[in-house]
Amino acid sequence: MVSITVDGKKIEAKEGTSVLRAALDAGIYIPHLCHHPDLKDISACKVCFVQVEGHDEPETSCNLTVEDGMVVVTKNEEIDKLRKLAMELILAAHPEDCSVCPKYGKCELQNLIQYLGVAPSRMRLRAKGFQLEDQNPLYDHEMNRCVLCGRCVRACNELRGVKVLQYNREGLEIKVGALHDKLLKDADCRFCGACAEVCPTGSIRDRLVYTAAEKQDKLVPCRATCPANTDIPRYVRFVKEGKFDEAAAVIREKLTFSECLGHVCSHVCEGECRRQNVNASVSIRNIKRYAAEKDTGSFWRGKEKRLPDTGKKVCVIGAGPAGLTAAYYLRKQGHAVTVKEALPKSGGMLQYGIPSYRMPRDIVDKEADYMISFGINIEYNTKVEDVMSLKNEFDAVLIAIGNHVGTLLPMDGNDADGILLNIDFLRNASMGNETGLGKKVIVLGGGNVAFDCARTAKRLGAEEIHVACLEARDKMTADDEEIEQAGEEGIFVHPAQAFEKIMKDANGHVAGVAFTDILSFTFDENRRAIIEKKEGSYHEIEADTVIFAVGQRCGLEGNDEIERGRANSIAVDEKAKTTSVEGIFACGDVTYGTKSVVMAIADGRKAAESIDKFLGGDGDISEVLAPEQIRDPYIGRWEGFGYAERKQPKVLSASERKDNFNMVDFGICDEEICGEAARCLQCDLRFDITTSKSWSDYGKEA
Amino acid sequence: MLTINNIDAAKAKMDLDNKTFAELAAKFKTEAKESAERVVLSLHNADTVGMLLCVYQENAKGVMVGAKAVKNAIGAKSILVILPEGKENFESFINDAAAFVDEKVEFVYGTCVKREYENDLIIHPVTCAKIAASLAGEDTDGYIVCVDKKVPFVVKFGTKLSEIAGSDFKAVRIGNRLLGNAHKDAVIDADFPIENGVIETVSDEECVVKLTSEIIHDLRLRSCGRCVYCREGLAQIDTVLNDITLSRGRANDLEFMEEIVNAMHKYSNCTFGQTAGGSVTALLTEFMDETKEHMQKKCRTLKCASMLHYYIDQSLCKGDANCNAVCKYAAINGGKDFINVIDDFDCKKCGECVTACAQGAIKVVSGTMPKVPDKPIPLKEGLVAASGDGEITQAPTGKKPRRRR
Repeated sequence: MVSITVDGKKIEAKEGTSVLRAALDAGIYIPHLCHHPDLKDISACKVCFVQVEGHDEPETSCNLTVEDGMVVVTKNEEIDKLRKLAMELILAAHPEDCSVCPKYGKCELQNLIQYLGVAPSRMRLRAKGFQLEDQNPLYDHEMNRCVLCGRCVRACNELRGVKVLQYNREGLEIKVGALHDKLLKDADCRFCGACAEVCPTGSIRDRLVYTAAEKQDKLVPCRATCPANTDIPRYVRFVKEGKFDEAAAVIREKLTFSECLGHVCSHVCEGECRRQNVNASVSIRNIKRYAAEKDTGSFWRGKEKRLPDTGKKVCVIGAGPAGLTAAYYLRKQGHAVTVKEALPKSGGMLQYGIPSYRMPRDIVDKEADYMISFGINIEYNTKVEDVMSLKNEFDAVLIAIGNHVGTLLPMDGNDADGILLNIDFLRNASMGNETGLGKKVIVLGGGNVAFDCARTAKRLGAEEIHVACLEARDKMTADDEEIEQAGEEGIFVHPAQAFEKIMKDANGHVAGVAFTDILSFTFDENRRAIIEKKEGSYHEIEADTVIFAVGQRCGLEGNDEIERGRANSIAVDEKAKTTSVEGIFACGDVTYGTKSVVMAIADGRKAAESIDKFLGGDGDISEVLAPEQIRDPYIGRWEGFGYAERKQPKVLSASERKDNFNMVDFGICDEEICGEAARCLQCDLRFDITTSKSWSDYGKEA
Repeated sequence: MLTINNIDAAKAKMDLDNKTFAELAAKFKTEAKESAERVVLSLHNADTVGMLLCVYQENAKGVMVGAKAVKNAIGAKSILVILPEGKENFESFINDAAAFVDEKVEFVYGTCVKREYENDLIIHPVTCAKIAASLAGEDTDGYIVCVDKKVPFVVKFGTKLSEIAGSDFKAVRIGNRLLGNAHKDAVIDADFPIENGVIETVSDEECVVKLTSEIIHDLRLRSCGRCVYCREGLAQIDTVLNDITLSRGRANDLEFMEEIVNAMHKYSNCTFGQTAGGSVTALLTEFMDETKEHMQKKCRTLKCASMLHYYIDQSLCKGDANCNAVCKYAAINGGKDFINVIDDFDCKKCGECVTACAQGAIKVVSGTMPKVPDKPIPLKEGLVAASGDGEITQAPTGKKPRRRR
């Protein structure tokens, strides 16, 4: 350590550091622009002048190394003159329209102008005349606003090692851009955002507009949209590095049923993935699946939080993803938990809804059993008839029964024999029971459940299967891969069909369904469907079985005091998951309608937090299981990064899969998984870059 | 140092100890480092002409012997050569010379960004050649120069500037600097600012302001643009000088330029910016009179078109109106058998009329415009000037000449 004096204040500084860094670290502000704490200094902006006692001239402090006993002045007339000259020169070529700049109020240049109080009045002003470059994904380049501080170039080259940005000459002006002014994708940009992060002005900026509070969520949308806020960039990075146990531990910090989710998660994260602006989103679900499959549990197994017994008793109704997740965390908080499940096994829809060719049951059993092994008392084949009476026996009750009753559409002929409901059919198929399926099947509905029904029917031996729905093909809610795979298996899909009636034969059995083609299908302002049918398009399809797959609801009868919401769901407080009856909580599908497994798990966690608080705990169920991750800022070059294709999972051929319940989708294979994870733009990496401080932040603590 | 007579003797002595290199470094005004990763051979960034590259053509072996000696002396691992863009053809004979000293060199093109070579020793190829000459026991006191685009040669220390550039010049341009005639007897020695060795004489007919404006504009196009004073300073000076030559100078322009040039000189990050303002400094010192005249819209060499006034000497005009016929801008009033009058406002100073007039009646001045008739005068009625000294007499129109500017 050396000791120097800055403006009469004695400060300690590390040997070899610059006077600027030493002063800023000690809370003494020296005006600067091209300096950034994380980048090498280049003395480009000529603003950070100081005068060292005994030296002839002022010097720029960013490239002035501290020496023991140095006496430094940061302000005098000569320094002021040099600084102002530099700023005036910079401003001579900078547009004056601050108020229309997206960086207004967050601009370091604007901030510095205010501090120095300069205007380029004696300068020959000029406009650089560059066009706004908005052909790149994610980032806008408005190089008219550039002050050539070179931070982006240094960030791209030295901090990241991507080496895309450089100084280019364009006529009389210098412009930062890729070699030969190529588009970023063609110059092998990694879209890490370091350039936008360090840009002091509005020159290189995110196309997304956000407030400071929104920044994390907007710029790392996968993590923000995940209902459980799983730290996706973190586990994707671990997978890229081949650290699957670490990745699995990251997932375990926020989720139960992680391997199940690897198979069937609705992956809203992929829908928001910023990589899709470059070419295609990262295959996040398959990455998670791979990590969960390869996981040996070395980081989390046995290291979970376990609090001593509290003596409080909780009853959870329903052993689905929501109920079992809540039970698991409540048990770990030290409460005695009893789960009452109507069916013979746990897992809810994972066990009895989603067909086994999509969701192998051994995985469901394995993950559910692990949670139960924490000491959850589980009672199967126990349908709770009277919720209110449980209050006498338990300190808290959680209703997590999901939506297990299919919806029958009010239409002509819906009382015929041979009509099945989605949930009943899938449950019977899962349990190996008689389903009542015939040979010619029509499934009504266009969601994933409809395709689960159709493809299950195929596997059970139905000869002709049709799926018909109201929505046009591009509006169908089922995943594209479901619709495509169904087609490959020989299932007929009929989008945009109005269901006219179900035809019956003489015995009252289903004989077919009558349809009319739909021209347009919209909703009015009261959310009522408006259907425009095509004249003369009436047609009939013969069938002996009709499966309704048009939604499901909870089967709760109205014989209790609990307040209800839409479609007989249970009304709860959004955050606390409390119902209108004290001590009774509810979570999962039963509270908000049919959503996804990951939402149920996230909701189960919320319920556990709330119930724990209600029972006198602190409500903190969070766990740190994964080791700390060292994020390497130097991501380096990758030729063709922007064009790297999303890896496709290995899927059995239609002939191999259509007559059995074997697993269809094998995920991404060993050789490709790390490559797929490496396609991640690492949107979280830029948050490791130090935020530049304003002059008004200095001297406060001193 | 263009050729070394006993290159083998030099090669034999290639192993220097540090002390000797430090001495050589002091002697040849180059950086002395005790250790470095690489020896980097580069011209100065300020050298935008690259005449000194001739040392590679004439004496590549000498350069490589010197470079290898330096490499050995400071324990560097390799030699890197930075060449200007477009000089790829130099690689072959530099490689040959490198092979002579059992070296393989790496090539980089463009300017030398010092920051990228922080751990290296940057040295000029001419210095290497001098070190080699010194090892061979040969005379190293001199510079490689090129005068008025003739063949480069070595000028020995002790020579007067006039001996190589003559004494009949208004100024000499050396690199980016301008030296006035007062320097003609300056002795070229180790302290002489030889810059890139390119010496060009400027005759009395040339306008130093215009010349400087052109030099600065050229430099502005070559600045790498990384540091503010050089990039933006050159942009400002370029615009200001252009304005001055177009008679649009502003009152404080000279002080303004001085402030910028001083800042550039002291605080630019490389020799390019440090020396780029040299010609402007000369304008503000040695050529201040001529510069101030320009601020008064007067160009004594008649090179700055905007400061010129074309007029017709009434005493010489014979009224054949050839001038009138060639004027593309209809700026000449009158016609046959008139003493024509050039409208100074409409005149675009193209000078076509000067060559068209058989009598040589069309004159050019800069500064104060002589009094000329307001409108054409018929030759018969007009007062034909009798006096032979060319004094202009006004036709009795009774009207005052219009002044629009």
